Amino acid sequence: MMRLVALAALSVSLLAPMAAEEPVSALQLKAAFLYKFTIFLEWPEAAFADSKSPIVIGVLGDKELAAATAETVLRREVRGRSFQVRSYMWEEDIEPDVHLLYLSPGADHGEFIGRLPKARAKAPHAFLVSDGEESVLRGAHLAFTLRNDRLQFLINLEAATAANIRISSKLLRLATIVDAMGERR
Amino acid sequence: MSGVFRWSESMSLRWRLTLIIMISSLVAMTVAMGVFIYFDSSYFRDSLRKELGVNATIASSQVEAALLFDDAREANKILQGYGAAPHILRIVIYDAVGSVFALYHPPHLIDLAAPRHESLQMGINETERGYAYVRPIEVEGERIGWIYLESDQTELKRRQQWYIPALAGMALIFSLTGFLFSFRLQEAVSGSIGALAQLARQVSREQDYHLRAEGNYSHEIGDLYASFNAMLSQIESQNERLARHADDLARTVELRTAELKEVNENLKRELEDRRAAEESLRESERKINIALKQAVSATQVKDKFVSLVSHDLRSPLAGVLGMVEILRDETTYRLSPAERMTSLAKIHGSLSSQLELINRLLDISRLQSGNIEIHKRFLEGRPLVMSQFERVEMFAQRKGIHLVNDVPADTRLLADPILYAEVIYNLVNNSVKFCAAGDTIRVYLPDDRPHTLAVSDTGPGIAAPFAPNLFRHDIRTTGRGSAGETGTGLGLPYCHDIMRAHGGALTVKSQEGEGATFYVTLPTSRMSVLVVEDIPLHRTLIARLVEMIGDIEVREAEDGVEALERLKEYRPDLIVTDLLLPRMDGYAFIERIRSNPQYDDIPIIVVSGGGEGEEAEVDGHMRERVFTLGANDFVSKPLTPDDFIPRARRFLHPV
Repeated sequence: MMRLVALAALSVSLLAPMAAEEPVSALQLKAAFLYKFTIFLEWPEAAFADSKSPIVIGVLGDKELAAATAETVLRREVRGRSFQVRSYMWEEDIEPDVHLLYLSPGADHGEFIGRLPKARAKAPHAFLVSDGEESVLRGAHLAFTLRNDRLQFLINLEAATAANIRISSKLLRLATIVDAMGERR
Repeated sequence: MSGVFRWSESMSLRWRLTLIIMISSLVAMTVAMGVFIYFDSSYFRDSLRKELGVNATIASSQVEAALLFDDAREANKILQGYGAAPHILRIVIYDAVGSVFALYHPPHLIDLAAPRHESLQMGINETERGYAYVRPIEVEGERIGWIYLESDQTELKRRQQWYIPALAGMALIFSLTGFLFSFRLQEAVSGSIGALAQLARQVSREQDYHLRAEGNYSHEIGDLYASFNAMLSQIESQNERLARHADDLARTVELRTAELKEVNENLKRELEDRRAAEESLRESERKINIALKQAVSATQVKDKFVSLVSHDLRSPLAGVLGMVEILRDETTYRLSPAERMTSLAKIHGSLSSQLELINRLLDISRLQSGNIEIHKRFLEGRPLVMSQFERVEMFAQRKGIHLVNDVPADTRLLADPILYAEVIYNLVNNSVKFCAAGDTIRVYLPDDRPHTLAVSDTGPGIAAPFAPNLFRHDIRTTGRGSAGETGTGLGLPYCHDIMRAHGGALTVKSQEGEGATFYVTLPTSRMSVLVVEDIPLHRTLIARLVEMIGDIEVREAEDGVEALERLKEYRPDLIVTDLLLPRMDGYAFIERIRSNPQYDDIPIIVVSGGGEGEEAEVDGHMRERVFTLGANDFVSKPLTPDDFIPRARRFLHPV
């Protein structure tokens, strides 16, 4: 995505390219990923109050990411739904209508593990995103990893299915699928 | 287009129609082909757009996630999945700024790089090997990149390239077929119009308005034919009317002309009649004058003659009368028996000469009055002279005169046998009278005079003063013979008259003391035979036979009608006729000849028939019939010289 922004002059024939003024930071890239995940996810009907209800992205423990994500989803819609981005400091604050929840692993990975069940309980429809392979094994639905300096992700399909969230195969193709046992597919 | 029609004006209707049909069908075909190609290619592009569009949409949706998450490796992997799709030549995914994000092409086409995005148009792009479809990849209203999908349509393109030669080939086939069809079809139109045109040409060339266009056509052609025929009928009836009018005019003119001519003719005839009447009046006047003169001179001659002759007639009678009185008066003159005999002899001599004189007078009179006609025949000269010599032979012998007949044996003379012999006799007799013993009388043909017999003697000759008057009736030139013979003095004039009646002449050449030569000259005219025969070969044969008889003129006629025409021109000495003739046959011809007093004495030999048995019987009938009609002889065919010549000679040459 960095290249995307870096390149300037666009052909007349290629109309209205995505505008980008400055190099994309790792934060912005992560925020963009969070937004893009929503495109390939499908929540149960019960997750929304009505057909116009926004997709709510919650960011726990990372205000900067929350701000970047809010900026990313500004004036964007997916399947006719607009976005709400909420930043949480504590897991007790997490609201039940959150659809995608990013859990910052923080400095102590153990703390994060402890937060995960609480968050799942607080927001039962949320697609849980975190960092590191470990988090996926512990119950996160998707985890970012850095491989060869490229931001990639692992998906625990089992867990997501259990949360009644459908993940598009297009997304699955790009991800490394892992199950609770840590096996990869 | 108008150029083509101007150019085609020099062509026949047949070719023009063919050309029009062909051009029309070619144009229609070209338009149809164009429309076909247009629809075919637009359908092709539509279906191609649809097919490529679907493929591009599917591919885009497959790669959109990879594009969104910047996973080129995965995108390339996804594109590989399309390698199996038929005809896919290239799939290129561009990112939002136009950089190549992912690329697929079949493994064997390693030279295929991604086209630069600047050169691409949205939608269908025609490429070197086929068509490419370019569309944006959008997610949730955001353009995240472009997809370029190229399909290999080499075959299709090849097929399209074949359209031109295929079109040309079809055009050729259509043209040929069209030509054949149009050639047949146009005959329906041009055949009838061509026939009409030809008829029109014929009509104008031959001016024959009886001609009609024949043909059972409907609609315009039928109307054309009917109109043309109606036009011809009109012209014809107008022509007829004109001709009738012209005829009337011509007849009127002719009538008037004839009337005028008749009036003219009548006037002319009247004029001529009058002139002829005047002429004949003058002629008769002239004739009367001549006759008057002749009559006067003849009367004078006769008067002299009568006074001459009457003396000759009276003198002997007076002598006889005196003798008779002496013999009667026995008492006065006592005559001895010897004296009596002498007296009687004198009386006899006087009466004899008296009788001779009277006979001669009668002859002359008859000759002059035309009671004696000349009937010419061929005579043999030598025997004729010989028989005249015989008449004077005793007389000549007694006087010691030689008679020499130098006339050649083959001499033929055309003359009246009796009168001509009389002339010769007179001349010979005359010579005997004046010649003395030792003299010679010679008859011969003089070399220098044709048709002439000369009677020459060596006697005393004729005194010059007498010579010119020897042949005159009114001047007595006679004298006593060498033995004291007397003569009537009428002999030479008589002979002269005979020869003139023959158309010939009697002349004398003499010098006193040197004998005299009389020349008996016949006219040059020949005997003539008319041959009436329709078959040229037979005519020629008869003519040849006749010419073998002597120098005879032969004239020919084909039948009785022509023969009668000939007879108006001349009088033949013999007619030789066949019986079976056109127009007028031999029987009718003989009947006509014998019923005309002008010709009834011309001898006729019939030449016909011939044969044996039944034919001989027919021959006999014919013979009987022609003799009854008045024919003189009948000769059966085939003619032979031995048979024909003696028979013909009988009439030309009496023995």
